[in-house]
Amino acid sequence: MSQFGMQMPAGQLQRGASMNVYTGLLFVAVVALIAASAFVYVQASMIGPDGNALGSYELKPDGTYDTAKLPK
Amino acid sequence: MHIVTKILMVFCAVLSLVLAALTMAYTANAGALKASINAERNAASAARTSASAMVGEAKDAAAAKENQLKSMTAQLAQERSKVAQLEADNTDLKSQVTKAQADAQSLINQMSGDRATVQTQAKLISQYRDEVTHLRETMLDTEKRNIELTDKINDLSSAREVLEQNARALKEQLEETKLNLQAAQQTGGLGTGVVDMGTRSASAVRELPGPLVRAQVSETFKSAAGDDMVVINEGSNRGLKENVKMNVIRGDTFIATIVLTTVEPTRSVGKVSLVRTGAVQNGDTVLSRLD
Repeated sequence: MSQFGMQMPAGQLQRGASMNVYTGLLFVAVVALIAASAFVYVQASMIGPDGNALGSYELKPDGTYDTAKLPK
Repeated sequence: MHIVTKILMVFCAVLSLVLAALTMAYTANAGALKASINAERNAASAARTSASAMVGEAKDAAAAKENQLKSMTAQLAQERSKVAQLEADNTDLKSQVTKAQADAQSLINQMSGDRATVQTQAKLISQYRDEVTHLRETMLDTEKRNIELTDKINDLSSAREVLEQNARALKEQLEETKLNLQAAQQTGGLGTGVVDMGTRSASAVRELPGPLVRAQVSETFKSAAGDDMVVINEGSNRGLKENVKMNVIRGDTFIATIVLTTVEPTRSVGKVSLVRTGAVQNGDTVLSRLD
């Protein structure tokens, strides 16, 4: 009966791990993270120095930032 | 746990790290950009304020410049009008100078002509002076000759008058001699004739011999005896004597006969003896004889 997916008592130790609801939730979380990462990357590329999404502007001694490398 | 779940969990963890890094970088850059934008805004505001102030100053300066330009334009117009006036004056002065030069040239020419005329006139005056000197000398000679001739004429006139007086005296003597001879022939005796000759010659009325004597009646009056008497303006200077018969005429009309009763050198008095036409008046002509 187990070939039909039915959980039969005393058969737990012989069964392998299976995907459950948490796997689905993780899948959704992964998709959401991919989308958010892509979106944030695009936006960060727009404002980052020379289009570098992970770069940061340098602080000048007068307390202002050097925005000369702002992408067009 | 299923392998897929494990892989998804690893992916989820990795993606979470990546998202966290991106989010941190994005946030940091956003803050920096915000600060920069604020700074730029402040700078822009300050620049705008400064620009507005500069614009205001520029407007004021432009207004001042425009006013200055207007005043300079007006001054330029005045200067141009002055220049035009000065050019007109200059033109007038140039024309006056030209005219004055022409006048001066004409005066110079006229002076040259006048100089030649003066020289010619000086020559003429010199010639006239010589001619006048010659004429004066000639006149002096002529005057001397005239004086000499006048002296000769006077001498000859005196001699002629003397001769005329002598001739007149001779004629009177001849007439008296003829009268005496007639009286003697009428009386027939030479002795008595000679005696009576003086009285007759003194009282007989006769005509005046010799040249014709012409006089005028200057006055008429009546004598105490009632006779008509006349006064004439000639006398013994012209040879008139008492008892001489004179004829009074007026124009071509015979008026009367008078006999002289009183003879003076320049006047005589006569009695009207025969009146033929009217009465004797002042201004009537008196003749010694009627030819």
